[in-house]
Amino acid sequence: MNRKGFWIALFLMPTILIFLLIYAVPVFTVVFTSFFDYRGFSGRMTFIGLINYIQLFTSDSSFKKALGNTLIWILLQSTVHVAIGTILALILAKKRFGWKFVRTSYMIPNIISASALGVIFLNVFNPTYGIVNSIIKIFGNKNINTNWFFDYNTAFFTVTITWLIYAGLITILVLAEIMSIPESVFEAAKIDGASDFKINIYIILPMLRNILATCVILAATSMLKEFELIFLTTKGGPADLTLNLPLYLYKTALIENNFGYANTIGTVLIIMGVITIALVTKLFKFGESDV
Amino acid sequence: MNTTNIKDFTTPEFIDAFTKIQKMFKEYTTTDAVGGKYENGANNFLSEKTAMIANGPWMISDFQDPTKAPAGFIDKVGAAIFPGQGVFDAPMLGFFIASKDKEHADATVTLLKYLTSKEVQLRGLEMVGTMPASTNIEIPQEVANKHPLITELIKLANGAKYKYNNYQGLWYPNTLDTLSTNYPALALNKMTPQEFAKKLTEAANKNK
Repeated sequence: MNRKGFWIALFLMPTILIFLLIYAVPVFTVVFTSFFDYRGFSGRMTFIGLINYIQLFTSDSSFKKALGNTLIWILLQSTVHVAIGTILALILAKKRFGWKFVRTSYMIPNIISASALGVIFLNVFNPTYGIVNSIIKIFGNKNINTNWFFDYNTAFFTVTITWLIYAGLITILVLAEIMSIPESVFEAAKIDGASDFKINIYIILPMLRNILATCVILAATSMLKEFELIFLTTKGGPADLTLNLPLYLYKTALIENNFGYANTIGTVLIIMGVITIALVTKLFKFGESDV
Repeated sequence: MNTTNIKDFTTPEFIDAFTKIQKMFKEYTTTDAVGGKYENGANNFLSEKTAMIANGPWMISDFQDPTKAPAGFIDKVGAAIFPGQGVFDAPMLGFFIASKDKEHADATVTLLKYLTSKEVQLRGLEMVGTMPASTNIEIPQEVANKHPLITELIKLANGAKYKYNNYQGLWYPNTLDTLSTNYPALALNKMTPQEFAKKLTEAANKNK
């Protein structure tokens, strides 16, 4: 090893050690123990091969529901959520009156703690005094008493609303990228007679490819770890209608004390995360040059 | 029925109980009861939107708290035990002695005997309206006059035929979770009492 290589290795060592201790060892433990019957606090483990996986994919209706919900939320978050944030960034980039105020205020839901947001939404959607039912009553339907979080027809939609439309982080990231595009690009397009719409579609959006890929990865993976808002509002109910994989993992590990089975769910989550990132990277040609 | 860690909820007693719970949800409560937490039930009762609340003596102090209830609210409230002469038994405090030597252990026992003595229980009732743990305590008239509601409740509870133990301590934790997440399904008629019982049984049998 030459002198330069030695220094590189030396400086990388702390990062590699921290990564191994904080991430690699726990990930290995999760995957390893998913092949065991591992319950309670006794620490006793019995090797059972693929039985946890077979049970998960063949006879566990809660897992199927949680997996389906997680996939739907990943899809919605990486499309609708990112689209909302991007459209708002495109509008704000025109720097019309009050754009700074809108940019700041749209970030507020992102800086409020999830526990506070959960309580806020429980009150907003409360069937008797919640603001949603109160507004609907003002506009005509005096008899409305929909219990938004716990009605079979509205629970999934209501839980989804608690994060889907609050795309402040996406807006900030995309807006920063738009601001970094040289002004001369827009001037050249305008001289060629391009409208604002055409500039957005044919010039700005293609130049945002990398940041949009980053946003989609952030949005999609956030749904692989979404927990607090569901736990604080519906706890995955009614029945399993709003259950997702992180919440199911939590319940299996900490309420049923079935750590082996919970780690099987954890392994599925890790694989889903890797597949999501690989798919988005490929789809957006993330990191590749435009030329 | 008097058992811990129940694994079969499909017995006639449970089906009957779930049928009654479903009826209460459908006909005798507010819309926010489904999925509602304690504060929903308490607010509805304290603001006189509901006539009854199933709760314990710890709520009595709220009845005279002007920040929680309208003036004179406590005078409108009476106490009753459950139909069928039953009372819910919710133990409040428990003690463990972890002293390693006899001297400290004996001293701790002496302290606990004092803390649970008739005198201290009566003082707790007199000062802050705490329900005495013992059923053999005679309540002096001046204390009864000061806390009429809790005194009434103590008399009724002492004459109860049944004491329902705290199911939160008797059931598997995942069964309790299944109970709360499936209550909306039962309440909104998306699940029959039999299906509800089956769900709980399935959850209980996940425990080994």
